[in-house]
Amino acid sequence: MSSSLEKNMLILRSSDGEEFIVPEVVAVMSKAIKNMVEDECASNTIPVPNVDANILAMVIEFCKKHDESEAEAASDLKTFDSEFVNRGQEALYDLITAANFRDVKELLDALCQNVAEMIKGKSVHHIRIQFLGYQLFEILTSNFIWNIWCDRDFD
Amino acid sequence: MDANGDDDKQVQWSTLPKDVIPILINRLETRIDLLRFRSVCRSWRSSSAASLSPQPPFPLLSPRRRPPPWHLHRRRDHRLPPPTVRRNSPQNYFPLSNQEVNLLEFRISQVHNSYTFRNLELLNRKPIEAGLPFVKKIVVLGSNPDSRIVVVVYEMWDLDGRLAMLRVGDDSWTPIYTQHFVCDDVIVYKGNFYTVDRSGRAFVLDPNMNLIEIAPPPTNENGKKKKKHLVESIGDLLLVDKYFELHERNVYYYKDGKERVKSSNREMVSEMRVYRLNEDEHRWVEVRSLEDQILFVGDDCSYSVSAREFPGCRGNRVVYEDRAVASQIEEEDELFDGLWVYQIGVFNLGNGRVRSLATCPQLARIFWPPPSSSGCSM
Repeated sequence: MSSSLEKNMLILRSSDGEEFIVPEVVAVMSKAIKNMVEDECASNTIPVPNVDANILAMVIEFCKKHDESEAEAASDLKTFDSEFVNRGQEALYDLITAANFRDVKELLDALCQNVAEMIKGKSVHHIRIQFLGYQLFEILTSNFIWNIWCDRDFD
Repeated sequence: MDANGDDDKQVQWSTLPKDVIPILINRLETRIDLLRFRSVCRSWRSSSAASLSPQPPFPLLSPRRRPPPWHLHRRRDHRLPPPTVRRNSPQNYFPLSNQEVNLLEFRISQVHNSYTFRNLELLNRKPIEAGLPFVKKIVVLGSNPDSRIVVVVYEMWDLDGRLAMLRVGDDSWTPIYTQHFVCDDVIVYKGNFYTVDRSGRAFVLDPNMNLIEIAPPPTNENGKKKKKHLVESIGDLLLVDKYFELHERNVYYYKDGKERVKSSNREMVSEMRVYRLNEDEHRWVEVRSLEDQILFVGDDCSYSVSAREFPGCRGNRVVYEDRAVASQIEEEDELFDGLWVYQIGVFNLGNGRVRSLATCPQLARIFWPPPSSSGCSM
C-alpha cells in the first residue's frame, strides 16, 4: 500500500483506526510528527493515538488551510481561524488536547485565543457555569473558603 | 450557541493539560481576568502564575539616543467599580486617577483600556528632559500578544502630532505620514486604526499602514483654534471638536503682605461640536444630541458611557480636562465639596454651555473617591 503512495505523502491513522492521506508538508505542521519523520522512526503510516477521526479531520483541515494560504492575505486566514475555532465545548476541548499533544502551534494559539475571549470580562461564577457546568457544586463544597472570597469579589 | 452547542457531554475543562494553561493566560491581558481565571477551580489555579508575564520591551521612538527600552504598561484606571459590600447603595463610580481599588470591596468592570509606556529607569523624569519624544496616546490592535500592532501619537522637539507604528517584534518604529498631516487623535474602531488630523480629515490605516483619507474636514469652520478627539460611542465613531478662546480672568496673589490682582489670558474651551462618521457617504455628520451618552474625552484616551448607569446623571454631556474652566465658576454657584474637580470641564451639547465639574454635583459624584460627607467611605 505504501508503495502506491505519491511521494511526500503520509498516512495518519486516528485512534479509532481511520486513515488520512496528507501531504508531508501539512503533516509536519505538527512538531511531534515532524520529529518522528526527521528521526526516520516513522513508516508511511503514522499512528496518532488519543485523537479520533473526527478531531483528526479537523486538525488536518486547519493545517491544510494554513499551508495553502501562506501567500494569502493574513486577514483571510484570521477569518478562517476565528470561524474554525468557533465550536462546541467538546470539540474545542478535544482540539486543544490534540493540538497540545501533537504540538501544532498555530492551532493551539487560535484555540487558546478563542477560549480566552470566552473568559475575558466574565465573572468567576459565569466562567464556572460555562466551563465546569455540573462540577460547580463539588467545588463549592470542597473549597468553600476560597469561594466566599470570590463571591464577595466578583459576584 | 457557539460555546454550549454540545450539551450531551460535559467536558472536563478542569483537567485541561497543564502546559496549555500558560498559553491561555497569555491571551487574557488583564489582571482582573487572570484573578478570575485563577479563582475558577483548584487545578486552574495551581497551574497558573499569579501575575501576567511582562510585555516584551519596545524600541524607543527616538533614533538618536539609546536609553533602555520601553515596556508597554496597561493602566488600571477607567474602571467602573460599584461597591458590592454596601448592597443598598447602587452607585457606580469612576476612579479619578490611577488609584488602587480594593478588589474585596468592589465589583469592577472595565469600560476602557488605555496604555502608557513605562521605563523603570526613566520613571521619575519627564520624557522631554530625558531627550525622548512625548508620547500622547497609545493604541493597540490585536489581542494576541505576539502579533499586536501599536500606534502612537507623539510630539518631539517642535513637531506636534506625529504618528508612528510598530508591529510587535519590529526593531524600530515606522513613521506614518501624508501631506499636511498633523495628527490630533487615533483610535481603534471596528478592528482598524482610524485617525484624524488637525484640520478634521479622517483617515483609516490600511493593512500596509498607509493613510487612506475617508472623509474631508467637517464644514463648520470658524477660524478658532481647535483640538479634535475621536470617541467610539454605541457603535459610532464620533469626532469631538473643541474650540478654544482666549479667556481673561483675574488672578489674585499676595506680594509684600498685600493682596494684589492681575489679569491673565488663558485658552479655554468655549464651544464643542460633535460629528459622526458616515462611512458610506464619506463625510462627518454633525450630531445634535448624544441622547443618554456621556463622553469622556482626554488626550490619552476617550470613551463613552450611558448616563443610565449613574443614577442622577444626565446624558448629552462631554467631560474633558481644562485647566482654565475653573474661572467659569460664578459666585452664586453651589460647589461640589470634597474633590479636586475644578480643572475638569463639562460641556452640555443641549445648550452649548461650558461648566466646571465642581458646579455639577450629580456628575462630580460619580468620581472616586467620594467626599467623606456623603457617607460612602469604607
